[in-house]
Amino acid sequence: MAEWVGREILPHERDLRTWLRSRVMAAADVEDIVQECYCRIAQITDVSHIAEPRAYLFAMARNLAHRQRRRARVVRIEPIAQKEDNELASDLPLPDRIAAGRQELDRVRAALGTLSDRARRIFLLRRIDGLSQKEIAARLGVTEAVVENDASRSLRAILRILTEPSDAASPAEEGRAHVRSR
Amino acid sequence: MSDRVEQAAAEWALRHPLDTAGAAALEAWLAEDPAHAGALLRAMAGLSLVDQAIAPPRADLADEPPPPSRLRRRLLAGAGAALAASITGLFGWQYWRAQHVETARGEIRRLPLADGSVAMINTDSALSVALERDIRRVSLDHGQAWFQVAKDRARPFVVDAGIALVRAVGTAFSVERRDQGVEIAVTEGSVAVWAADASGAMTIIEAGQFARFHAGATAPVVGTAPAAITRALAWRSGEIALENETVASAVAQFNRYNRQQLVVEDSQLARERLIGLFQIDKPGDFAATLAASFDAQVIATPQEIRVTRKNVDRR
Repeated sequence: MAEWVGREILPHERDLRTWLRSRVMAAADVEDIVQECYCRIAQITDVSHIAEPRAYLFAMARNLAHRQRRRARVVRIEPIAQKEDNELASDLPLPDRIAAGRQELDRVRAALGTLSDRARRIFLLRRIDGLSQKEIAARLGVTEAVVENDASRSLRAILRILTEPSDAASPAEEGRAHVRSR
Repeated sequence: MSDRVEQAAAEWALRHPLDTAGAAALEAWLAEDPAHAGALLRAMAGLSLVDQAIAPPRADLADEPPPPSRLRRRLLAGAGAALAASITGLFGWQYWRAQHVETARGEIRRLPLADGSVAMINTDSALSVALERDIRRVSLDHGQAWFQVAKDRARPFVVDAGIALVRAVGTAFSVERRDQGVEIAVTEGSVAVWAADASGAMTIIEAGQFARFHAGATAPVVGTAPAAITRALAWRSGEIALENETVASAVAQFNRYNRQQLVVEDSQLARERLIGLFQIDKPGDFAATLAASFDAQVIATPQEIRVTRKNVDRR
């Protein structure tokens, strides 16, 4: 399951955040919706029916945004259904999608490159040698707490790199949102 | 997602295997707030990407276009069902006990693996094998082994030789780990190799090529030498193949396999070059050939076989 989410959902989180932000949503609301999406996916027992995970994710987020809007009783001017079709569709042909998957792994590798040597070594020992944190701590001659702290902070840093809309992308997106809201 | 929840989720994702107390603590944490399950899933998804980036389950070797098959989907669906069945199902990692194998001096062992692969383990070597659901892992602690890998795209075959790693899907290659470094030689297909210190930069080498890693170097020295590779692997059939190699290097090779050590002290004789195929466990035959070819004499004891030149060293 985690593997499927890593391959099919997580790589779209950045676009999802950009999209949600482009709808003039407060940062906290974007965060809530993203979080709620993962909660719902955690409850899914069978992913075999999800042929288009990206579209599924965006549709789920859109529904949540609707709901949140009603609850907030703030009527926004922007028509919700406006550009969903081209946002939802992942119209890349299969080879391109495979290439995109590889690009994603390249980004993860680049993110790994930003870590300290020790943090990188921890992930390698974990993956390649299948060692537990305790065994890794013994191998590296540090306490288990150090390993846990290093690894968890590094994992979060990688997640941030993968899912935060880049600075280059967001002004354009905000610009579009601005134009639309006028 | 609050900082605190995200941090806790990352810690839980990394904490495995969980003992009973750990599993109970996780369940308690998940019960605190429905948001926790989502945060944990996201952290685990991120970790799975990190794992794949380190050792991809799908080869990005040129001959591997991997469409997600129906079977794969069904397997994923199965994983999802396990998740629903129990919260601790989230942590349904499968652990297989690693198999440890060591060879003594002179022992050459053929080890068939459960997945259909075969490891030929050279003299004085140690390795461990763990076949998991999504990866086949071999740790080469020291020495040398040649692997004939059964094709299984869903489960890459990764050999960890300390400073360097190799990943294959269905090929044949050897890995030699010495104090001076690690050498990988491919006899069939292609493999990806990378330095443990490098952040993911891989080199693809093909049949007939070798890659040498020295400690501290992030990239290997790569070369093409099909004949030399085949010759160097003659040990698999219990032979030593010499093609213009020095007596000294032949002696060193024999001595890795036999308790009865060859000794050639004459430096001139040690520099002579040889061509021939010898049985690995018969250093006496080799010494006799030397004696005949270079006008030398052989003095054998149970511990050693001393080869001396008659005209240089008279005793």
